[in-house]
Amino acid sequence: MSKEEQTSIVEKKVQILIKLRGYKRQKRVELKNAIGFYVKTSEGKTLIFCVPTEGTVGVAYINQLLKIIEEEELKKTMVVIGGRYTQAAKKKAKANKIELIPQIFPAFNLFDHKLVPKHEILATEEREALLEKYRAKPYQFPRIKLSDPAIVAIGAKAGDIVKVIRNSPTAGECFAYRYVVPD
Amino acid sequence: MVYEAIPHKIVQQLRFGLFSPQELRRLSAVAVQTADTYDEDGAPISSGLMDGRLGTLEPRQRCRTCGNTAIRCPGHFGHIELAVPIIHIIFTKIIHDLLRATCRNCGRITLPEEKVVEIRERIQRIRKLLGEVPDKIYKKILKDARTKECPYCGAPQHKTVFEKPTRFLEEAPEGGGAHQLTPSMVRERLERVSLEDLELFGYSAKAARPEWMVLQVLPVPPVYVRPSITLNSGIRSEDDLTHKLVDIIRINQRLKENMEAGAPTLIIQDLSELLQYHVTTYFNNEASGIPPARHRSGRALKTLSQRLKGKEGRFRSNLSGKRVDFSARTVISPDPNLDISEVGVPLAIASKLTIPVKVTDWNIEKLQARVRNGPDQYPGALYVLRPDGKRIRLEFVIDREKIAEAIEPGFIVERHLENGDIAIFNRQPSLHRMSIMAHFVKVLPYKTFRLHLCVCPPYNADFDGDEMNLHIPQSEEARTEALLLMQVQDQILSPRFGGPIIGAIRDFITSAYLLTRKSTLLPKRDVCRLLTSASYSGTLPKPQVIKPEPLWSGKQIFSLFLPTDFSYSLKATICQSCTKCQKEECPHDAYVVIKDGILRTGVIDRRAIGAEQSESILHRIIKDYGAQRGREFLNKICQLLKLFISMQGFTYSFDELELSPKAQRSIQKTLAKHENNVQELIVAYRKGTLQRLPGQSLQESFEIYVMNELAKARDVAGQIADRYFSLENSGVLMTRTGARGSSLNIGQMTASVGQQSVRGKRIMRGYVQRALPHFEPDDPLPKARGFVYASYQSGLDPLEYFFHAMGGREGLVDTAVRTQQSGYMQRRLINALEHLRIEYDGTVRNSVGEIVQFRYGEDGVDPAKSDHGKAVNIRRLVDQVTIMVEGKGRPAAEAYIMKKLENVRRQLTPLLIQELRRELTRAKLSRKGIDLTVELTLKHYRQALVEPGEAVGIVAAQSIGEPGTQMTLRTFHYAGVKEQNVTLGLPRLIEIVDARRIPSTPIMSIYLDRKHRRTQEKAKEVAQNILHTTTADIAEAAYIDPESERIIIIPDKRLMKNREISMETLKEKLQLTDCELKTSGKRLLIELLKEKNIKKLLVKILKISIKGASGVSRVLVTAEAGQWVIRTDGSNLPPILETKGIDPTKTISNHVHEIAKTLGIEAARNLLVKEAIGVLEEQGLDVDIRHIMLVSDIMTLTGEVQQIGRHGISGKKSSVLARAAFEITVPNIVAAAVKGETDPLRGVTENVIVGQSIPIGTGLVNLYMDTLAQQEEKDG
Repeated sequence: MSKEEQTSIVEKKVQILIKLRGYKRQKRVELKNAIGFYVKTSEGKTLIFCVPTEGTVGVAYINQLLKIIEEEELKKTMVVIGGRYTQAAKKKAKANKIELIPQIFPAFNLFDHKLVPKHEILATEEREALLEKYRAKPYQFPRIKLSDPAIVAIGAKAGDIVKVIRNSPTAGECFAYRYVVPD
Repeated sequence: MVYEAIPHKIVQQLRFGLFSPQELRRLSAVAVQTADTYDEDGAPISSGLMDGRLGTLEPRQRCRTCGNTAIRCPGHFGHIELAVPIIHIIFTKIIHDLLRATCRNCGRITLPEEKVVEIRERIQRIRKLLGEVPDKIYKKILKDARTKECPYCGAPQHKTVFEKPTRFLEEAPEGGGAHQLTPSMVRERLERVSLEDLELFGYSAKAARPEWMVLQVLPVPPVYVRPSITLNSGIRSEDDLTHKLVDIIRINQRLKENMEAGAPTLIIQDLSELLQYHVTTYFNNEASGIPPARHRSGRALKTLSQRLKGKEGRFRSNLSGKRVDFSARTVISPDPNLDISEVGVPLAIASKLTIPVKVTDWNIEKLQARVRNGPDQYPGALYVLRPDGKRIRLEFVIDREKIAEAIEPGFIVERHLENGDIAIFNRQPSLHRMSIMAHFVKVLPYKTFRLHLCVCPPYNADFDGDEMNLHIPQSEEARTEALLLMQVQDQILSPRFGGPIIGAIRDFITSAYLLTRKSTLLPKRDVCRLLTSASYSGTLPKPQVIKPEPLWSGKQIFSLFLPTDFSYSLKATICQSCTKCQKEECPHDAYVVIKDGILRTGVIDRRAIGAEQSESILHRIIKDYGAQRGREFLNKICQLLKLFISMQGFTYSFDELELSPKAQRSIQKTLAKHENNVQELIVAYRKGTLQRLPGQSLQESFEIYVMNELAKARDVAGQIADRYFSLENSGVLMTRTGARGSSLNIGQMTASVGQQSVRGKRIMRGYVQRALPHFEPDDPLPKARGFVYASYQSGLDPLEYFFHAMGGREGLVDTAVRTQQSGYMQRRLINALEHLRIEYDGTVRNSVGEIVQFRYGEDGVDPAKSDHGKAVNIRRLVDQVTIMVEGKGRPAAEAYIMKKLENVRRQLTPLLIQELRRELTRAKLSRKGIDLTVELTLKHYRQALVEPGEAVGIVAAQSIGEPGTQMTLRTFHYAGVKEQNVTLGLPRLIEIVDARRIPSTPIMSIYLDRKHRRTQEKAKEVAQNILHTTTADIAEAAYIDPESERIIIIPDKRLMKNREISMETLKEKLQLTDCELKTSGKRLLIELLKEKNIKKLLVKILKISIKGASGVSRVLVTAEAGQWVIRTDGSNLPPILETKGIDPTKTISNHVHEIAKTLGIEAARNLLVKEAIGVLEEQGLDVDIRHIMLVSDIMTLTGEVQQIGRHGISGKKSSVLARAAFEITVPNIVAAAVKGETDPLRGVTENVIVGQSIPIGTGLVNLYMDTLAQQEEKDG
């Protein structure tokens, strides 16, 4: 795979991510070895740090990002890559609350796939109403992992409940819910 | 009205833990000190192992502790004071973990304070988030707690080594060797571990102090646990446990004496070790690392552990399965004269089984007569129960008259079984709920149980010596439940697919065809006889033929048993699937039309009345008129058909198997022709001009071609035979109507038996390069590889006979293997799903209230009450309504339909609304008609909903497990593309529920984007980029040049061109760190710049991926529904989804874990459903999708794909008892004890084990009383 192709795939991933999570895209900047996307999220200004290499992403990249965070006082950062993360990078990112988007994050809208139903994060009121309706604690719901591709795509957090809109062969359309749990 | 014992106590929960030595002493009735059991007179020795205070075995003796007789005394534990502490074998692993994770000096956890605080916080957080703390967190803490120096007291830590079976060693620092930790030292260290630290490991100090895992006191079980048996010769034989205890006491005493006498340490140590051995084998005689203790005869003793575990262990054999009274078993035989819901009970059995009847003013006379008759004269009675609880056995009563006179209301008489009593009938293996049904008793002479032939399919019974069981429910409650829920008529519709599983079989179907075919015309005499036999009491219809004598057609007679307003149409089994269906004008009379209860055209055969036929006449009658009507219909036509076929006579004789000389010649000609074709193949194969199939070697391709050719030969021969025979041939009649057999059977009997196969191939085994010595080596001729030219009718020659036996043997072996595999799959499914039930809010939950489905099957419809899977058969409903309101009013506007549907939108499923809209628009009904349809849809939908308490899990497990037995084993079927092998059938189904990490045949179906799916060339281009290519795949040679210490690779130009790899890409890929790549001629040289293991490097280089996705070993481009699709062997989705030219939204794999990882758990769930349905459908098995959805939902409940089995769902059940009863019994109980777990007893198995009613179905219902309101009432 050529470099341009690789870059375009990774950039596509970023675009998909922005679209699925409903971020407002602001600007794109070329950084050293990477591309930065500034977006507006519910948590404020966010940088999506995009590393298009096919190789591994080590602590060096994370350090580079940390420096930017410090300089620009960013609230939230994410990393999208084409290669793999090293263990150390993962650890450091976790410690600094940087969200790492895994390599397998698809470069197309996941929810367009015929096997994947649509997922939505439940708002607080809906969530309360649901728990009341079923008289259940959230952990009694079916679960979904924080690392699940669908959860990464919509950006849900541990403790959220997501609504799954299934296309059912028996009922037509039906709703299921899943409780987001850490791995 | 029968006495019913009121349960006084209900076990609410069970707590697990360890006993402390103090508690053991406190609970002990005797300190056992003597190793003997009985003295010379046979009296138990005091403070011996059979001490009277432990309970008594003699029926008349009283227990010396509690004063009860043997029946009422619960037994009492004794104890042995051990001279030295002994390590309990079962806890060694836990002891070792604790020793390693705590300080050897102060006993604190070897983790610094701040870490501990952090862990505590994390545990708290997880508990809040998940409601519980998963085991793996504790496991991790145990693993992490390891330091060189104690963070609290500063003591240096040494490595603790565990040596099987029970030795602990501590390694001295600086390699000073290891010294043993004696049990007392271990105990001391464990004593120091604090309560708070134990909690960090997930252990409960309250339930189980770790030092209690080192025994000081050994409990001695009561004598009931280890009864001695007296043999006929009068010799007493002791239980294995007693033997073991004798050993323990003997050594213990000896050790004690030696210690008191101050014997040398060596002797003491030896004796301690011996004691350790005996105690160890007492608990577990199969522990690894020690020889099992043996009986004098050499048989290994069965000690505590062995008593519990396994199929014959306490849990599975005695606790989960219990023996019953009031049951009978005998051989079964058929009786077409019975009702389908009757069972014929032999007189001998009927006068041994009893039903308790409470005497009332209304039945006293009848019961007095029974008592007078006594036990031997039928109908009589066996026992009389007086109100004071005394039981009188009539067998021993001389003057029964007196007893009969004494009877008054309030007495209970246990009378013989009589006609009309309800009984539960069962045949093992009980694979689904229709294997146990309630029948009405009919007492008959002779010795066998009699049953109607139509109930054979649900029981899977035949009469080749099958035996069945009969149970008589004793309580009023049990009888009511049997009557209401278990009757045969209520089981006709199977919950597996929502169609009738009971129906006409075999000769009934033949007879139905003979009766209803056009040529059947019957005179009045026959008609009357037939109708009387079916107890028809109406008037005769007008005869079809009046002159010369009145004749009635069979169709007319059959019509008399249909409901008068019944309308229906279908295609019969004999339908030839003509290219253009002529419907009512069908030349074969295969188009069945019933209008207003009259059979207008068509014949009745399997499709119409057969068992396991959905949407048949029988099914429609049951759905529209109820089960009772369905049963009557089936009963009556069976009587009718039975008499009709008896009147006609029906036989299949040998000469009906004979073909005309012309047909024989024709068959011979075809066989010769195909043999010629094979000959040509052989020639081509030998010459090497044979076209190779992709991914197969030349020989494999040849075999496939030959197999295809020969299969064709047999089929054509069979077809010729089939064509020659008409429906006048009894055999053909049976196969065409679906009564028995297939046209393949006819073909084999008359034309040619065909190829015999072993392992899906022609017969290759036997001698070297040939199957039998009668052939030349490597003879590829059909005859030499097991093709049987002869038919069964003409007879096989010896060689053919031998090959046939080989194929036949494989069939038998397959069946045996299959039953085992599917049996285990069913057991796992049942265990994983048994505790699921419908709650009152419509959700499916497990026993602890976790939601599995928010709505059962996503629409809340019970498959058993559905119409072949559908909640409401709207098309049929609309048709019915159309007839009802025919000609009334003009068609309503579409807006009206929409408005009407909008009103009920929330009450129906979107699918139903959609269908209603479509059908209503099509039917052009009036407003009234629309109102009626919607109303009826709502009604039917509500009727079809599942009821709270329904055991949907068990039903789902049965519905998937039961057809498992019918599945073929080892079907490497050709899926779509004939070159591709896919695991299907039972192995694949097992693979799916097993959630295997890697499926045996991973396959991707890659769909292409608009640019590439049009032409084969474009598709091939994409496929080329997907196929995995390594250096090894394109290298002509790759080796190490020993002289220059370089790696030399010679690429194969042809291969590279084939795979479209340029030299540049290859070179680019071979650029390695610390190496230099050079070219010389067509060779590539890799020179090492640094010292490295060159051999390893070569291996690494050969594995370098040059192109494609790893794991994809083969690609096939196939046309499918007008577009080109790539199928691969091997699955690796993530890189494929990023490949250019594919359509990522459609591309899928059959690898469930991979899908879960790349597309998420919901996609995995959908894939599980799709795969399972695919397997079952391919095998032609009809299973409702709701069952499969339930299994898929529970498999994906935790967010990752879980196995159905001990490593998945069954292993994570909340109940200790349920886990222990499934598999790995002892470790489960031990873990529960150490953690201080409690079993809430809310599931099924647990409650069966403790002997309580299960919280599912009718057992779920409880009576709650508002005592406060009652109090107020009283006060007010």
